[in-house]
Amino acid sequence: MNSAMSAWCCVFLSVSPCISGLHAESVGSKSSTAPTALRPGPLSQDRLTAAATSRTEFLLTHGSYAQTRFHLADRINRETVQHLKLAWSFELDIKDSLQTAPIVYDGVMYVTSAFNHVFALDAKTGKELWSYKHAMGPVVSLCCGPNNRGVEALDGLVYMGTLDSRVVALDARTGAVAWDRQIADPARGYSITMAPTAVAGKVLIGLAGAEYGIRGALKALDAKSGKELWTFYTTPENSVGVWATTDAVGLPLHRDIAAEKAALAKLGDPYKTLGGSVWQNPSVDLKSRRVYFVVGNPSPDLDGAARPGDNLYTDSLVSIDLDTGRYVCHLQYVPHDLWDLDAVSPTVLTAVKNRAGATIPGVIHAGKTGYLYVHDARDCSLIRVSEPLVAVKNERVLPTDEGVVIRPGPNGGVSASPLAVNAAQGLAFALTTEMATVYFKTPSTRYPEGKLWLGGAFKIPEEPVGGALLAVDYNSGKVRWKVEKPAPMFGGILATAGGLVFTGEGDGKFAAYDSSNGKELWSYRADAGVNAPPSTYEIDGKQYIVVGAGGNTQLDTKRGNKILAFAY
Amino acid sequence: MTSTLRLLRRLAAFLILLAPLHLHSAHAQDVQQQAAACAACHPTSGAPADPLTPIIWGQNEGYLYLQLRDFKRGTRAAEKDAAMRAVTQPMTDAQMLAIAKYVSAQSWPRHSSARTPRTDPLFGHGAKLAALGACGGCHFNSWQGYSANPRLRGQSPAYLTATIEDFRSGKRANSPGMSDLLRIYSPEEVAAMVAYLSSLE
Repeated sequence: MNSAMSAWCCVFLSVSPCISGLHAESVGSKSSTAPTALRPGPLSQDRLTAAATSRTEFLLTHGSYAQTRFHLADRINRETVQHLKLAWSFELDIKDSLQTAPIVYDGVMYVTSAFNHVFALDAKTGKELWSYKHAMGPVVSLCCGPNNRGVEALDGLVYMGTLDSRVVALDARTGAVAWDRQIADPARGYSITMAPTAVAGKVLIGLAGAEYGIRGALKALDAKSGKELWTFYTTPENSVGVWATTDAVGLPLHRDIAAEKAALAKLGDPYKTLGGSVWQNPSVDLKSRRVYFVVGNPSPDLDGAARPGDNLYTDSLVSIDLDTGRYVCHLQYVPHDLWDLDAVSPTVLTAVKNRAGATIPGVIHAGKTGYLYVHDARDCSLIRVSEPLVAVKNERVLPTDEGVVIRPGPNGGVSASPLAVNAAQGLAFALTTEMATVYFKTPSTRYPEGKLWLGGAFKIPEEPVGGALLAVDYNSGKVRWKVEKPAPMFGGILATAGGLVFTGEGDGKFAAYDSSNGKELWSYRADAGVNAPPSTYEIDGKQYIVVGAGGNTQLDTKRGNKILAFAY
Repeated sequence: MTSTLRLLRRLAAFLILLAPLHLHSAHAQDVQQQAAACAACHPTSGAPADPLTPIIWGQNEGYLYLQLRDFKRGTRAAEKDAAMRAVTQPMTDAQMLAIAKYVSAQSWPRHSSARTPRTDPLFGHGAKLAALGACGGCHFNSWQGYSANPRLRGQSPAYLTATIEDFRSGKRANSPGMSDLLRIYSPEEVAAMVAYLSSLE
């Protein structure tokens, strides 16, 4: 602990009032700058492409375009982690749900708060270099809190998607707005919570809002100008599919196909209001010029009557061409979903063993269904499904008028929390929620022009909830180890070459675990829920671990406003 | 004076105030004057005279705009919404946005409507139901909501009760997801949630 650290402590020991600032948002975009010696260079594509090989920086939201959230820094390891101490903390101006994944390059850290404020910090001291306060438009339609998952940078600009469906590009050195583009209409239910993926002169950004009957999309904008280059709609004009009778796990879907076919003849293809949110960064393979991402639930969430067919490509892994946005392949996890079983957690690209035992390029995703799926990256086909990661009950049973208890429910399984993958161990680390949900069938309603459209109802029964951090051997589908927790686990994971796994909890605990057996080796208690993905970097021979402690709206964990950086 | 007559008189006063304004663009002064007309039914301090009239000052901007728009379009058209349908007919989209912005920037009126004490079991039951119903996913920030999702905290209990009933019956059809979510509760459970939400300062 150094002198800078004790100075910070003085500031932060005082309890600050809850600064919601909700009504103050509309005063206008502002940037404030402080003079600084730090001059971040124009982060080049070459550096981003090689992000996974950096021992000192954390260049992309999930560490690399493969999104393994695995980092080579190993100064903090199983032996030294006991010496890890808080180096600095930074208070954001808004105390609310925090899911930001910090990126760090050239000594500068970029983080976001709820409601789309951006902060550039000196990664060594936590001192603010500049901030951008987003002036939110008059209408914002949200389902699950004022979340933002972070920024990415390329060639001197920093990019953020906003709750009011804009993409803004900021000067990495000053925070000045370079361009600001509205890409969808928030009054029709569109919003953006994901961090953009900056790659190959493009900004890849997805739209969310499947609780409001949107037509989801992944778009590519020109990184320099914001001009739209291509749009891939997540619900194609022919969304019917193959009338699947089972899901990807093989569970029967109890569909009345004849009734659906009759509805299709009467209503036509429902693709225009079929939902299909994109909640998280896509993975990118620059060798094959392919983009991989998962698509969320159909609209309305729980009523299939308005949307006959498999509802492609909702609840699916999709791969498209980076340069044109053209479809390459997909695999649907839950055709004609009636349970809000989104695919949300970001995809991970890593070598996997196929059924014949050969090592091939793979894609891994863990779903709200509570299963981890392993794919062949070449054609999206499913190689294997893990054993269930959570307790399951009444899977794919149809909702009823009286209500039926189903596990997992709409909070997952594995929800938005990104995985981490240690390829040397062949392990994927995942956070789970154990929560039963009562599903009710309600009368069908027509598309409500961008208003809340669920098509059913759910509530949480008074049953114990919980969660876990677990390690899955993705070449066998077996759970290698599991650390059970008293509350839902939501946030994200960082794995390092130091043989460690870092993650947080809703009660403020932030801990390091031995990646080979899940043994807890170090912990810290924050004053708010740690429900965000950690990152790591090195400066002047010290390794830092950084994470946001701001709680989570949906799980209603304690809110706060701190970015915490630990160092050894 | 019957409540209908009272409503019509207020409406007439409102329309007279509004009439010259839509000839101009939505200047700040116009907006302030126009919004002041709202106070005929929605007083800026204290509770509205008609308990079925909601508190609007300090309500969220996105929600206010969408409701004005829906009154005008006729997609929010329960019986008690007739007055608002009339009021919104001459409004342009820009005027509705400007009024929503102005009204949302004012402070939530202090009022002395009957509150259920925190010690009342009804209050605790309502708090638990609201938490288990995950209402905070949209009406977050201690039930103040945000933008398109309205503030529920401290709203008039009679208005909340009537609105929930309109959602449940489908009379209010401009947010079918709310109809779905509210249909699963018994009248007793609704009463508990209303008691809890309306009693928060």
